[in-house]
Amino acid sequence: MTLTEIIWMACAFIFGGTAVWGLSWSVRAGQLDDLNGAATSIFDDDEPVGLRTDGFPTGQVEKFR
Amino acid sequence: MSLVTRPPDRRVSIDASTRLPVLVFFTSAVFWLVTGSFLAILASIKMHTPGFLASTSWLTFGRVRPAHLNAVAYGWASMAGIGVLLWLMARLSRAELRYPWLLAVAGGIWNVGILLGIVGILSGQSSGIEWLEFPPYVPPILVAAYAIVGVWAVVTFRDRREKHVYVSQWYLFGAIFWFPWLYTVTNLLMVYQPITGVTQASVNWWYGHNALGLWFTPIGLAAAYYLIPKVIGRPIHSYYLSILGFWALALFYNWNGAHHLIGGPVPAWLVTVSSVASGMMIIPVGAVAINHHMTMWGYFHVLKYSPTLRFIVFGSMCYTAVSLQGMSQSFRTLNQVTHFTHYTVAHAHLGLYGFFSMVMFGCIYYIMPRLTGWEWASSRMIKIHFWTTALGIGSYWTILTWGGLMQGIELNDSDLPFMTIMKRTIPYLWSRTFSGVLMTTGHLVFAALFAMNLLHLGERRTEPTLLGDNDDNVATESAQAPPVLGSSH
Repeated sequence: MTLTEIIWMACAFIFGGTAVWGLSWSVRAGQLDDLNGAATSIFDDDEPVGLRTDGFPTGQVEKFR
Repeated sequence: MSLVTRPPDRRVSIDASTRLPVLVFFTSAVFWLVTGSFLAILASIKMHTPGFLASTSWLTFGRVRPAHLNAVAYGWASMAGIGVLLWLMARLSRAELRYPWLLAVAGGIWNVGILLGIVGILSGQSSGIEWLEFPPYVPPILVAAYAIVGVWAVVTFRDRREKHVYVSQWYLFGAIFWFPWLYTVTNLLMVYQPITGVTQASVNWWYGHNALGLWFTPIGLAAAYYLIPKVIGRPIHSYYLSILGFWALALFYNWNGAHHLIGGPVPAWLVTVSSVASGMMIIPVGAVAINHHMTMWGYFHVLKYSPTLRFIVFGSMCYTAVSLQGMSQSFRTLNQVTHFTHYTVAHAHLGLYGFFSMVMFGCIYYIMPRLTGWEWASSRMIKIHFWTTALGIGSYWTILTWGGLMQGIELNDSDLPFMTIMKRTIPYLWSRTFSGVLMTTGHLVFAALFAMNLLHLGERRTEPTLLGDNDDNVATESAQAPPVLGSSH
């Protein structure tokens, strides 16, 4: 086997493997247990469900400028 | 830990931590977008007027066309995509970016790579490999820059305070892990230790197709899965479908590339496997289409106001359209007509422009004010940007799809002389230049808006720049709505 062959095969196993590992991790870690709750994980008290956020973030950005 | 309260300024400080690198990537992206657009118009004009600027070797079609492709793919699309990726990863992990200057350096290195690459192509050093035309000294520069980005995205994820890994993050991880795989392995096999024969073509299209499906697509979908629910304030319709869609993409997309070689001297089974996998793409594409549509259901009126939503929903619709079209093109019966015609060019632009670029525009409209603390200067300019680009890509696709079909049918008719067929495509090619000029006009307006936002030009505004929100700016797009510059409402 040439070095090139070793590299591309290793890449296939490593990157393919991360995907398989990722899927199995997500099951083991309970990521798929509560799908309805998961869908709301991008909301919080500050920007709750029902709030349209395509607005100017008034007064907040100023503090960090 | 996950859905708990936190100080409202946490999100703001996370956004602020991404400011420097994201602005570096966005600004460069806009620069390459405009550069790439002019290269595109040059290439397009040469299709119907071959003598145009043909005496300068740097501006001949064989150089300008790949220069356009690489400027928009690696300059515009990838840099905008990386900016969105970094911002999204920080936000979804609810973690500040550490050492943001390091990512800004990565942006600088990436720019050096693109600049050397474009100049290299124009000076005649193209590698001649489609989608990888940059001269051999460029890929290591891009890989170095990308390594910083990829590692830093993972570092940010490891710092996460949000326990749940949202579907957008899965898509981002797809992009983060699959791009370096595709890019390094293909460069190795095509440029540095070239393989020979039909394997070369197979590897070339494994890369060419996956660059779209496993690099750009995941970033675009990640953004849509975050920003559509976020803008309208409603969780996505079916989280189950979204996760199913991601893993189906991960499973099937990688096999698709060989359908570019239908009719070529490659083993028939390779093409057949690829066609089958392309057909299986109905699962991830259907999942995304149903999800985005059902999430938007009842909220379509928001499109009237929100620039972000309008661009992203337009892009998502194009994603469904381009994916279904791509599936149909992978079947031999249609492919034997459309292969090697302008039909394919229309398809490619519907994907990278109609879908990906439009989603990136939408993201930039959302992200920029949160980084610069400055609102967009003019709702009228945003509308011009939207309508020139939407109508531009719409007419581009329609004209070249029809022209390509005609061309393909005629090319399969052995009684017609080749030159006759070529001449019949000229009106379509003129229309294509017209569409390109329309889109470029939109890009110039967008670049001006972007610069005004970056430099805090125009009057300070404390209200969002929405499209139809103020009372003198009613529903129809053609209404003479004064830009709400500085007006308080």
